Amino acid sequence: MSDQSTFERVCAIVREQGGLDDTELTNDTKLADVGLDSLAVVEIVMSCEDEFDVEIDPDASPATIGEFVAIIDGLLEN
Amino acid sequence: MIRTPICDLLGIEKPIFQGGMAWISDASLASAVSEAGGLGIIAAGSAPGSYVREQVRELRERTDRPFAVNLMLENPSADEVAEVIVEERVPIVVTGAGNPAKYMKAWTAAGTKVVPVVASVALARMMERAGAVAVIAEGTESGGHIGETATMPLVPQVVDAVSIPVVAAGGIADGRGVAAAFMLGAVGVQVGTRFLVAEECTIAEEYKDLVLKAKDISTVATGRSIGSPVRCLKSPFANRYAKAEREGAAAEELVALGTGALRKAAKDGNYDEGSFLCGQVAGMVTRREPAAAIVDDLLEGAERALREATKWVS
Repeated sequence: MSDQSTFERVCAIVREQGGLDDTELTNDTKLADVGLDSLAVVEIVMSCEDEFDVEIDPDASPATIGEFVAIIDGLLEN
Repeated sequence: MIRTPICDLLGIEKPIFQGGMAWISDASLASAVSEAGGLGIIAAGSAPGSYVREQVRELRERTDRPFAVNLMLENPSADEVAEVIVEERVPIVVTGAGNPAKYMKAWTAAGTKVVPVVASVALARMMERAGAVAVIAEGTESGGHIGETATMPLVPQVVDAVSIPVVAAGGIADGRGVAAAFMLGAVGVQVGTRFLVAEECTIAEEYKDLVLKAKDISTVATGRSIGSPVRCLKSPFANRYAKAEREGAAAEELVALGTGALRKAAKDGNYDEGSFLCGQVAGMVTRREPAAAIVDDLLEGAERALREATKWVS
């Protein structure tokens, strides 16, 4: 288990995907609002799967950072 | 003769898909391509389920060969069309402009084979896992809804990432393009723009004339500012749209500007107000001919190109 929280690790993936080093990200940040389109969201889903070793339901389509975190924490608990 | 694994997988004779183009790919064009041994595709576009049902039944009166329906996932009636696909026992569904995951279970349970159009490696991997039997890797050279990556880099990366067959799309209009797609690892191609001028294609003659006159630099991609890029011919409509985007128009304003523009192009041939979707290969499309002649020319050209390809190798 990493020392970083799920939120921090998801943010790192989102920043890398979108080149968003200087953008503040919160649980409420909508991915579309920081310029990430549907293809980028798919990319983040797949990167999170690799990072957390989980399988995210392809039907889930999370729209905010917080939704990503909730889905991943739910999968990690099981 | 060229025969590849996609032929056996889908029960088709020739590995040529005719692209599902909104307001364009109807029963007339799709049945002609299927009857010629390729895969004819009816496009739902933004139409309701009743239109798709009618087109599927009309196609079945003209051919008993396999065909597909293309469901554009931004269609406001997507749920309804997804159900019609199940009810009408459509053998193959091709999806575009998004992620079809929520429909995949119902379709695969009904025996419908799902072949999503993908514009990235990650979406291809996700679709393979969700049960797709093949994917169409479509580069940004295509007409209509597009991604950012071009066919040449996209296809081999998708081929390397998935174990299902890959069909290449975007920038293919003759046998050389088909042969190149095979070299990249694809086992079939999807062609849209060249079929615009097929005799069985029912679009306005003015649209066909514009495609026949187009050159290599005649297309432009608009809609990037709202995350939904679309490639079309440069035209008064495309210019107005691009100008509105440059001036920072709101998403709702741009959507309103685009409403009805596809129909005005395809059905009315309205040069001033229509959006004439078209790929970068338009400059290679030079003559009207039957769909069957296009299918055969693509494959005969590919066979010639592939046979000649060894001439530099000693």
